[in-house]
Amino acid sequence: MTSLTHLQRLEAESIQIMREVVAEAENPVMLYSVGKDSAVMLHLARKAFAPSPPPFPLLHVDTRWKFRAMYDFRDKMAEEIGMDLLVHINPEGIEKDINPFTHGSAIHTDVMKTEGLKQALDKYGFDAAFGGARRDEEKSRAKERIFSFRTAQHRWDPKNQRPELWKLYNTRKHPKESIRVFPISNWTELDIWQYIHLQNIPIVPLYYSAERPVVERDGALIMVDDERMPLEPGEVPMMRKVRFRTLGCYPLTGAVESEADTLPAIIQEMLLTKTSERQGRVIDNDSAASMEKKKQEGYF
Amino acid sequence: MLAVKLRLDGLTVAAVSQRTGLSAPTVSAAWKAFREGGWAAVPVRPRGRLKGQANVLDATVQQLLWDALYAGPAADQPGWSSASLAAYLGDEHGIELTQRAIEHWWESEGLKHEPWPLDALAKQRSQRGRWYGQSVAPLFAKLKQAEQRWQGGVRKVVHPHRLVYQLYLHGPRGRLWMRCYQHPPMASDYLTAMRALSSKGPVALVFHGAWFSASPEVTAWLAQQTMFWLVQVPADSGVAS
Amino acid sequence: MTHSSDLIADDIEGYLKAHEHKGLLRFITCGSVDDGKSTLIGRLLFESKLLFEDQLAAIEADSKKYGTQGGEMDFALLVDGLAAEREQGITIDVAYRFFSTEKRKFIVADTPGHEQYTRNMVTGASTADAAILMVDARYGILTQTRRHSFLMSLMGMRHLVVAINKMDLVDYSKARFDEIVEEYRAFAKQLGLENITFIPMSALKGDNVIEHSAKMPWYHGTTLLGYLETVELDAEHLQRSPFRMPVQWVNRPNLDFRGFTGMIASGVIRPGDQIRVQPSGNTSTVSRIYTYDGDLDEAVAGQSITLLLEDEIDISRGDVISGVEQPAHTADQFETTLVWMHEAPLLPGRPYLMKIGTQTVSATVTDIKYQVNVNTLEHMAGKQLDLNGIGVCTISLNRAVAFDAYKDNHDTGGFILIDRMTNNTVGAGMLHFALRRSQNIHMQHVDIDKQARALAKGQKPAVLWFTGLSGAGKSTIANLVEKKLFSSGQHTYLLDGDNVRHGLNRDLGFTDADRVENVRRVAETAKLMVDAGLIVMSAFISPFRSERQLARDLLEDGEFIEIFVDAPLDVVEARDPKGLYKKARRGELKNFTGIDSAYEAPQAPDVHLKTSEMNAEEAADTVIAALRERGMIS
Repeated sequence: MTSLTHLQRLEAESIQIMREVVAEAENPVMLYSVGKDSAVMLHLARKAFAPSPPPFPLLHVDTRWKFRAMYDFRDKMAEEIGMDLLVHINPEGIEKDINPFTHGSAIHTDVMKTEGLKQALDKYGFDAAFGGARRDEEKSRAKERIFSFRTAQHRWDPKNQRPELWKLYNTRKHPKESIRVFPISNWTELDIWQYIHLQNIPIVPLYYSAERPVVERDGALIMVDDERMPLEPGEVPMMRKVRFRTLGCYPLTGAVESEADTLPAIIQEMLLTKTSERQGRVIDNDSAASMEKKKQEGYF
Repeated sequence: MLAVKLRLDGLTVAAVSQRTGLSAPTVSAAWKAFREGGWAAVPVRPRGRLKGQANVLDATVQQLLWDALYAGPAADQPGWSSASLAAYLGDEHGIELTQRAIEHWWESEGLKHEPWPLDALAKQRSQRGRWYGQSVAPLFAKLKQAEQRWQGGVRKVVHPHRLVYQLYLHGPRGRLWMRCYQHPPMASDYLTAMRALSSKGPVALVFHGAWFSASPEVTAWLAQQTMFWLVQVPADSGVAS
Repeated sequence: MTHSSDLIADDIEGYLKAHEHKGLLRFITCGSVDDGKSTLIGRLLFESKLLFEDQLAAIEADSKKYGTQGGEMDFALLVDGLAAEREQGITIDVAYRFFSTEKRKFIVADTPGHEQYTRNMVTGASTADAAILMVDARYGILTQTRRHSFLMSLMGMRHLVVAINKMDLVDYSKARFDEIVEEYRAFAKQLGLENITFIPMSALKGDNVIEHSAKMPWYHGTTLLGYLETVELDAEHLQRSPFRMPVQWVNRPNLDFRGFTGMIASGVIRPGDQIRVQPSGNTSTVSRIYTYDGDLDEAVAGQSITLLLEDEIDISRGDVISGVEQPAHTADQFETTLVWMHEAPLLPGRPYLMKIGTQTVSATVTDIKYQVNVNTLEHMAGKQLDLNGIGVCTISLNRAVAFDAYKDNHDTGGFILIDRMTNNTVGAGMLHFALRRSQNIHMQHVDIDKQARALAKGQKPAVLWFTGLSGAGKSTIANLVEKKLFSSGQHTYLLDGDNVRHGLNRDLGFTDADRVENVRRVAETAKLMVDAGLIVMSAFISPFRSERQLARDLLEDGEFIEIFVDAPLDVVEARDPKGLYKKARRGELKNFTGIDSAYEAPQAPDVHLKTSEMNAEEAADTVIAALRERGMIS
């Protein structure tokens, strides 16, 4: 009797889901956010289709405000794996110079991320998009399906989601409708880190503690990643030993002070830490920006 | 010690860590040491004043000290030294306090800072050794006198009930000068300290913890100086840890 | 209990090493909030320290505000969000929650016990290794308990814990516990449930949840968590079954590599093993088990792998690779149990899509043998299955598939049914056995009816009956409408004078009687075409109301759409495209509608096109819009 470990079981499940999509969808794509969950998802895709490269492109919906280290890492990974990397930036966002500072995080996210994603999916006609969301991220995600159906207008209709029994996923849809597929739904944050550790999966260095120039904004430590970060008159960024628990747009992503510069140290810190993962995301603190609403609008 | 006592009381590492403010690895290291070698083996890094040492400073005196640190010293001083604080307390408030007592208090509040052994870097083949050789050594070769060689930095001090950003400077013989702020220091705060240093003649300052290139004020001032050299400690070089 | 924080702090590497070897157990909890189910799940999450301080603080505040535990931590608040979700209009559904101990990671399928319980519970149970059935010690076995137990037996749950909860409220009485155990055993026997474990518990007080209770020294069995940490996993049980792997996707990066990918449903495979491919029956030998991390010497149930074979045999997605000794069965007709999961009822005779393993085929329910009342377990006759209905049905497929009985293998014996029109997952089913030839239901008994044909075409059949004076533009508009429908993928046919008068109605003239017969034949023809599932356009003057009514009566409600192509006589006479009016005026044509024969204009047409006010294109668009409004087309 061979006992599979929980990570082996999770890995097998994710691979099964990805192969199912590739076998049944016409034009799948993987949403690549450059974060740790994306890193695991991408690694699983390589495993699912090896020795072929994953038979779909990567899509990065860029907001122009990601950390520079994320862009470097993204380009390096795509080149190394030999996958097509599609980068989409909402042209309206460029035209109107949408940014988190003058427009606020809600509008910035809506225009650059939500609208940008819809545009990209329409532009390339993708009918299935892999996303790296997990059920343990938030209470309201506990009921999210692995295959989440969207109307032709990309709306999520809560009443029109399908039951998922055994390992059977019904991928049928009408023309123009699309599916978001979450192959790592059943992974927890700890599973993700353990797997990264065990499999030596490369991740953006921002997850590791290092001295970085930061300023304080509403109690959050914001990294001065480039000259676009507006400083107060006379303000001098401090170099502090920080790391990021989640990655997004740098002006919207709070750092935590930390000494953890190895994976075991990160896992240790995570296990002993007393606040949940999403706390670092400034976006969640926007009033009324409930996850449900975001989901209905097509944010996920 | 307290950590070990609490562990003996049956508290978990996490609980002890929370109770004492020590990091979890520190607590477990202490516990391990105790189990292996008894009390004598427990490393006591003084964090807070333990029983049987010098008297606790009166709350009003402590408040006076904090007020002074936050307000800053006379304009020609780069910061407060233990001597200048002692003199200030005596002159202004008639309170007699030894330098040593102030330094103890610094230690208990987490304000103490040890100078970095920069000279030792000269022999190292590491990245920081190279940095020293290229950026610091030529300057120190020009400025041979101890009074001309300064090091310092800025950091956030973890304090149980105060917001403390500390600008620390080490002058001759590693003596500590400091100022405290309730916000990250501004360009003017840094300039005040640097002007005070530069007023005494040619000075080299090896500095850590601020990203001056983002500050037009500091950059402009530095560009005008002919007898003041600032060398920034590179990030993650390990020099400042 | 679980994440030993000392080990984390002392020796994170050691901790990680230990946690690499955890297993994974999925279980489902059945019961309502009143039984303490949420309290139990909340406690398990809490004790495994997977809650963060910000979450805890929120719960503590909520406990004071809404809690039922007098300001004490109310664990139920951790998992209950149903009221809020109902307000948001979200379907109450299965929630998946996670916690882990040093031995295992757990995925809990948490299903509400009341509304929609069948659909949700069946969904949650389909992936679970074990089920926890909550029973309130005060009330014992209730209807709900029986109902949930039946569903668990239906889903082939191999391990069941009856958690007799709230023992604190019956003074931790052994007598009460024994009484309930006795009663449940008798009931479980009927259902054929095996492997039942009874645990006296108090989720609220923590008795026998994680640690043995001092209050119940008479109980020597395992605690709930102890049970969950040791109960056998389905994946391990399945390693002892014959090898099965439904092929998901064929990996062909180059001519030298042909890998068959899939997740092993049961059994063990090693290079050198002989396999049989089904339904084709071809055999070969495994040459390699390829993975990204290197070839394997052995792979077991639950692993996603890529198999390479020694022979070039034809294998594609949907095939099942079996061990050659005990291959899967193949058949195209089965007895099954169906659980209906959609508001639109199951109709025998209607073709659905069946997904089983990695295969999708067309399936028709040929007979509902009986339905089961989940409360009384009684069998009832029924012509259809409604939402949450459960029935034993025979199913016929359009081609043979490889399968196993559900009781032997859930992955090769469980299936879902998909509605061809809406694409919804409408049912779930369990294959019991293939029907032998003698029991075969022959195809002519299967109702291929209008609905079935229409479904196959993906449309609602109808007659668009264009009526109006000669020259009003009936044929022109009908033609345009057909073009538009055709281009959007509809199946259509246009009946007009040109293709009817010369053939079918060649024998008819223009007397009133012939006009009636003409319309009758056209109407009957249209009816046949509607039965064939088509959208039919008929463009005839059809001057008399009664004949149009006859045509309407031949069809079902909503299938006859009367379209009045309305042009005043002076206008059509002025147009006179074929010179007919001139002829009629000259008396060369007898019985010409509008001149010497009446036109009875429709009193309430379904669509009224005033052609003097719109061009043919606009008129056609008006018709299309009307169809869309009626839901005839999408």
